[in-house]
Amino acid sequence: MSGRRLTLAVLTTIALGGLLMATPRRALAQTVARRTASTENKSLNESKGLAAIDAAARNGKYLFVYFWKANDKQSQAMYGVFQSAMKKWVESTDSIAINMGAPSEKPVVDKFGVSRAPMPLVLALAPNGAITKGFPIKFDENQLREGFVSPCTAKCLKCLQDRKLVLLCVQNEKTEFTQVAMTAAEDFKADARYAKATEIVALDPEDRAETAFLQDLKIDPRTSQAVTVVLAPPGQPVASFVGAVTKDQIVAKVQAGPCAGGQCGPGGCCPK
Amino acid sequence: MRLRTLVWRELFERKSQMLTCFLAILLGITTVVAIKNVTYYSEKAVAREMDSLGANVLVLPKSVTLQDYYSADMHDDVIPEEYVMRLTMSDIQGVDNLSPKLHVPVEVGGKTFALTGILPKSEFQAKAAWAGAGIFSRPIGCGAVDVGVEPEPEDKKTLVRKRVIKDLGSHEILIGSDVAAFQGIAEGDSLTLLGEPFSVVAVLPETGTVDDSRVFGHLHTVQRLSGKGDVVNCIEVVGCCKEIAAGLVDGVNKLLPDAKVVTVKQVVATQQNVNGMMERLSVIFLVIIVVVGGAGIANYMYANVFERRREIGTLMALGAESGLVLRIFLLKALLLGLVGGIGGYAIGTILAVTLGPKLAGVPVLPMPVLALWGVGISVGIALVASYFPARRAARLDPVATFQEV
Repeated sequence: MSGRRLTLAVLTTIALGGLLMATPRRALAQTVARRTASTENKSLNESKGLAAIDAAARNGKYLFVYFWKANDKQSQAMYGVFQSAMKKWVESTDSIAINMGAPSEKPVVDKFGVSRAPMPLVLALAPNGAITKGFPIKFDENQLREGFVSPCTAKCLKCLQDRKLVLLCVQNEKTEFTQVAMTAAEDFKADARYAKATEIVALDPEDRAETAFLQDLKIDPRTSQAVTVVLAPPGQPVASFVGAVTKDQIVAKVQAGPCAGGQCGPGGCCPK
Repeated sequence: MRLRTLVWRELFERKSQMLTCFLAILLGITTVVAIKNVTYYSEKAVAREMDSLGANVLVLPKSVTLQDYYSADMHDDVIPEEYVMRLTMSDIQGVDNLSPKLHVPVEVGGKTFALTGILPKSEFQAKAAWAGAGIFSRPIGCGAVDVGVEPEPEDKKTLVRKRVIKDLGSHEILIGSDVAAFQGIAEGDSLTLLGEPFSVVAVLPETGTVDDSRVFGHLHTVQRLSGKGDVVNCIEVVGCCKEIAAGLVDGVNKLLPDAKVVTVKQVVATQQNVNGMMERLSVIFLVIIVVVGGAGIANYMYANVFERRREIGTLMALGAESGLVLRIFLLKALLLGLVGGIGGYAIGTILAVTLGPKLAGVPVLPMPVLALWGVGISVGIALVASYFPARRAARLDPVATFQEV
């Protein structure tokens, strides 16, 4: 009994001493070191980043991943901002810090291809796995908040990041040409050329959660006609059809592209 | 004695003076031909560059001047590669494509070429979506998209036009036409660079630019082999015209304050200034030829006529007409001009073809039209400068010349 007390007393003293010696500059390194040590105890080869991604997806939560390389002033300052924001959003959001130098985290670094990214870097992941925003080097809490997007936005982003074409059908039972627009989208998806790499996403213009998304797309939430928007990877609106539309019209726009070949100079197709 | 013999003897009567006049014409024509030849191909390269790059923006290290970049496209200063991702992930509108490059010298068959590391689009394009929901507010009509839902084999030769390719393996290379011709390399061949074997996936068509003397490989492989780290020499940003006008350059400047951001128009303007300067220089040389060469020939001819009054008088006393004397001196001038012009064209062309690529960074080919131009000028100057001395010789009175003697 006395031996157990002695051990407890020694551990408490060490912990208190450690706390007193700790400085804010070391906070990030220590947090990560503790987490890394804990992870290493479980399994040297396990990536806590991948585990966190799985967990967030299972729990239907957002995940904010903080990547860092050097424990410099900028990293410490941004980690402070990151931690402060995450504490506020803990109910809906998971978070994790990833040391780019940790061999166990190579799978997650490779998954996102951030080995040469500006650091520190925060990636916001929606519950469906879509990266909703990247925040390199310098950010504040308000900017981090932009990582939260509407369900439809997350769905579109996920499709686009999977290199799929998105036919966004903005319509409800009140809009005109609803059936015509949906039929055109379905016919397009049924076309063997586009079937594998096309997704149809339906969006109710009256859904308040999607107001900001509609504003970005410059679509009036009170539209009286169905609107069909074609979005192409990596995230470019290619065409927008208001009212009736046919599959052929969509095919024509997709084949032309906004600037086919990606050349807007002489010989390109940039609007002069 | 035939006219040809008379002219030939007359030509070598005062060798040192004749040589001086000849050298003046030769050097003048050489300089003008060389400058005109290099300027012509430099202007053509600028036009081609402008056409192929379109409304581009260049991100360069702060210390690099536009002239450094344009003249050789090779400099030791670097910027971090992470700038590429900063640009990709930014919400700046109007960025169509990006092409980071790192140049290192590499020896192929005993000759030094540039190994240029490029980053295929597949390595960074997807990250454009990390700009968040804001990407959906980008205007329709600008931006490279990936609508090739049925993947087709990429024609990597389009690199020279589009500046970017979709995919490139770590040990795949594309080679410029000059390198291919020099080494006799074809597609599918293997080439060892910096100690590692590479597979040639494409021989690029001739462009008439420095790209012809380049070997293109994967940026990360070039960085590793050269030991330079995660850096690039420049980032070419293919922008959309409207957005460039609307402040794309300002946006990139704010995003990358430690880099120099310029538009190709500025680069071209700098190059055009150099071309203009060379054009003016050629005019100055032309004036020098007219003044120095012309005065020299006139002086030489006047002195010749004065000193050879007795011979001219004797010739006329023997029955030679004024026309013959006039023809002797004009033919002599014609010969001087002709040889000076042809020689000047030949030396000027050799200088332009050999030094042009080093000085202006563009391949230079001989221009036959400059031969006519050079010969025309030198013959014209020689004839005009010799006409009055020749006419004076033709008008000499044989009796008066004998009295003087």
